[in-house]
Amino acid sequence: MIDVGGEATENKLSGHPLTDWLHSKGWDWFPHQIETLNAAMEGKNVLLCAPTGAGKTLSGFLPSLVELNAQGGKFKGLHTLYISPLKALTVDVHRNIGKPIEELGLPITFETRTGDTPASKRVRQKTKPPNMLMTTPESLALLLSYTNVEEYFTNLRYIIIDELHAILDSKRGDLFSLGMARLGSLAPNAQRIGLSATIADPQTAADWLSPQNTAIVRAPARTYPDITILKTDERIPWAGHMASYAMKDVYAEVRKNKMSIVFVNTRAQAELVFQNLWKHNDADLKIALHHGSLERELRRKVETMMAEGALDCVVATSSLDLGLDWAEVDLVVQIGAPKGISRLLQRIGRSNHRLNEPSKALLVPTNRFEYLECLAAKAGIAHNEIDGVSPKKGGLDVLAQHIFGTACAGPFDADKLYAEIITAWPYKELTHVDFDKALAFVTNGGYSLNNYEQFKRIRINEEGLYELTSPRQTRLYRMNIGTIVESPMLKVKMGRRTLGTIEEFFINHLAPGDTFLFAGNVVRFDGLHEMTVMVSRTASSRAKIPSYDGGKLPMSTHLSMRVRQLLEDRDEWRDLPDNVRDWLEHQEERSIVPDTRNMLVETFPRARKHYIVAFTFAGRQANQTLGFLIMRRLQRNNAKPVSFVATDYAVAITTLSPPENIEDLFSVDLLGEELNEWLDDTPLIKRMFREAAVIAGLIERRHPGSQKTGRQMTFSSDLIYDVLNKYESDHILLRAARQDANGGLIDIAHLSDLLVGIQGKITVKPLKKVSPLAIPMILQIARENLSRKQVGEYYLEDLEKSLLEESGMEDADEN
Amino acid sequence: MKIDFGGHEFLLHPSGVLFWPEKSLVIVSDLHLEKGSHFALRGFFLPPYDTKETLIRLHSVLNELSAQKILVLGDTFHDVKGFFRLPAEERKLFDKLLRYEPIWIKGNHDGDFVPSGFKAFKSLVLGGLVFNHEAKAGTRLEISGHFHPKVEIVHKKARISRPCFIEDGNKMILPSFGAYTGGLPVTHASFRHILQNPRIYALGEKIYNIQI
Repeated sequence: MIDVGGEATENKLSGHPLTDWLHSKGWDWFPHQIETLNAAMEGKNVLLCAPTGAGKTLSGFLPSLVELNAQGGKFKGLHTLYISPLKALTVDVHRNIGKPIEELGLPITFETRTGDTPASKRVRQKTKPPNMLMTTPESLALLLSYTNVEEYFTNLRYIIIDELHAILDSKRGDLFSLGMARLGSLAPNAQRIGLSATIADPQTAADWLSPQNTAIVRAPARTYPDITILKTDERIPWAGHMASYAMKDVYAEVRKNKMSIVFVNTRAQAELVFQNLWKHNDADLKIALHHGSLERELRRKVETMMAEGALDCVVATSSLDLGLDWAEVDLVVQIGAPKGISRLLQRIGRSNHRLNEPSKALLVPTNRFEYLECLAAKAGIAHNEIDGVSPKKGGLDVLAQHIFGTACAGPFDADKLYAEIITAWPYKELTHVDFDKALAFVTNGGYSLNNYEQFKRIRINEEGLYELTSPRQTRLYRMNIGTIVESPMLKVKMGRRTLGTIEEFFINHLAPGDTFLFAGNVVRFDGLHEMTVMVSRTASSRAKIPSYDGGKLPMSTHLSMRVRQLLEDRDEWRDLPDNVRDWLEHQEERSIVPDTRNMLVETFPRARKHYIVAFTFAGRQANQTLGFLIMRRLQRNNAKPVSFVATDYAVAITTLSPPENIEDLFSVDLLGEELNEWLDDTPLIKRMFREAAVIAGLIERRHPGSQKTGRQMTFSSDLIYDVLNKYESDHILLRAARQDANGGLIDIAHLSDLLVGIQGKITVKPLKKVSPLAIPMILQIARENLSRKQVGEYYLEDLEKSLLEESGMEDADEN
Repeated sequence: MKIDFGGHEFLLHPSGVLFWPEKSLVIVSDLHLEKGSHFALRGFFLPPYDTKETLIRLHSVLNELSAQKILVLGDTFHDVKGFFRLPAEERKLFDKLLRYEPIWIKGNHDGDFVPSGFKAFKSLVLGGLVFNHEAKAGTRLEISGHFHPKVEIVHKKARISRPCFIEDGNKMILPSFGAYTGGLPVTHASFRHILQNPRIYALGEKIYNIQI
């Protein structure tokens, strides 16, 4: 930390117009704002970690405002680049920073630049940039691909990156880090200012921001938030994620407050919660819906109404997560487990935007395990146990895109470019060999069979520099910029009105006449017209629920440890509602309660099948992978595995034969050959390959609305994957896809830690009947293995009843 | 799987070719050879292995069936210049087809190009059956390709997508054979205009007769 150095600061800001402006609003400088300014003035990079509502954005801009003001309008060109992961945030920040500049008449020009900026303005910005430009990582990449980069960025003084914690473990982070490395060469004097939420290990984020000379500034934690878990007379369900049981109580809370945000984890939850709240809406509250697949206009409308305070309640997914400034929000409701302590804090931070007053939050668990998780999160916050950040290794696909972009800006020296790229944190361990492979990929595909020599995109010129073979190549690059590859989305239209977009795979499950929830209404699927989903109104109030894949978040490690501690420590059970405590007490009586040291594996027969339930607490992704691998192994052992289901807490496997040697199923060598064999054959790796192929520019990006019609003469990336895997399985794009699969979605690191950690600590508990803790898993299996039509509530209730009888819990659960 | 079409016995082969035992003739459609290099021309460097993969698979079926003859049902190359981009090894594999008295039906991707050694037709009648690249309205007992039919099935929440033959006793449409050829779902309106109450034969380890 830096010494605030009170006196120097007083000199710099006392009597400054900005200070007067702040005072006129009845505010004053926060210490961390002054610290940020001081560190920047000393020529340092700065990482500022501060909670929402702590004047973070103003802190980031403060050095620029002071410097530009001191120059009295004489500064020419681009001085400050502000990067945010959200377009909406750039607009918001433009407005907020604009206030002091305009009210004080400071001699500073400032503009946003995003995909929404009119073409004429973008052209003008290219030749005559404002002093401060607010933009996104993608737009920065685009700016860096223009031939005038050198003069454009030559005077750049500051790069401000907002919501750093949200970007550094993603491919957008990779792209931005490469852009920053580029700027490091183009404008060596530019300092970096990273703005982040409060994180556990700021040093990691600081290293990511810049390899050297970075000061870390921490704002004090805000007042401990006032978090409660919903108290209800209703019974908390065993399984499921929709919280329908709690809607009456949630509505009552919403009604008590002026403005509430109800956060959910998935879009399917958003739709259903929204609908259920309206069912209870006797008081005619203005309740709106906000999620990522709604039409942009609809979302904007909701955002504007929120800002004006014209709404009573908004049901939202993470589409509202990041730091937009809203009108006064009194209450934040979190439906479902928060999955991570930092995420919960960030969401809670949406309420009561004042540092010195506690925010108010209400947690609504959707099932019993989630109750434990909510309690764990609450305890985690009380102990200030925030999550860390885990930046990822840079993707080779993003690297290829960056190399192509660099070539668009002008000829480059390969060795110099390599040296520049390894200054970016995600690529610091990139080998020259892999760099060369990415370069070869950009050149002509980089295949060992060098068939495409005559179609090169770039070549070496007489000076030994790499250059485009034709300026027309830039079009290819610019069409394909960015790292966000959506799964194919279809427009949803009611008559002529576009309601939004929906994943293609969801529609593939539907037959005309089926109903589903979309944009807050039950709509009837009429059919596909070209690439548009046609829907109509329906009187029906029941619907198939969109099974959107998006937004399922993995549980953080911290939180899962807290849940296990809670299970272990009987004193903690006192705070549990009766039915949850009874559940655990019955578990203790009939089996074993999982603890922090050992992994409990239960086995029991049920309805002519055999069950293995492993309580790993390793998170859904890792459990899912574990499930696949154990299925394979059981198959090999002739135990006739049937199916499995994975949650954040456990994995349950069904077999026809009684399983033997349970401990061997969890041996470390699961991650060897079986993993690779399995992975090469999964839809997952194919999805990852498609993403890598689009980002790297192997196949054309599908732009919404410009999709093929009628005859499908385009190719599918799956076919390319199959051929490439057969003929050149170590090609750079296959490696990129495998790296992504290993990292994120199948969570190999987590799984590997788990398997190593549990060796010799597996408690196998053979039971005659299902245990209370396994009931939610069995219900989950029923849900996932029956088609929707079969899953009547009746069936589930019946199953639940028989499970309770079997486990001897039926009396206990009458309350 | 054997089926009767227009009074003749045919074998639907799981690889996606149609075999006519009586004439020892293999009928194959939509190879789209050199599709990879076609895209490479435009800067999208698809793996350059599609032609090799397609032709090796085709030769292995020809061997397996001990076929004497071959008929390619159009769109044999992805574009008019595809033939001239064949690398040496692929060119050899292609020329091996000349041993099978090859018949060339012109497809929309083929233009006027015909490789030497092939007998070319816009449309051909053989044993009372009509061979066209693209099905023609009003033509009876016709075998064609062009549409790349595929069938999408959702079974136990798993989505399976397979190329398929589609046939209603009057018309038959072959699946595409090329390694990089995607498909058009048989539920698409195009098929409704051509076939009535068709039967679907999906490709896999064997042929699956599927109701839709």
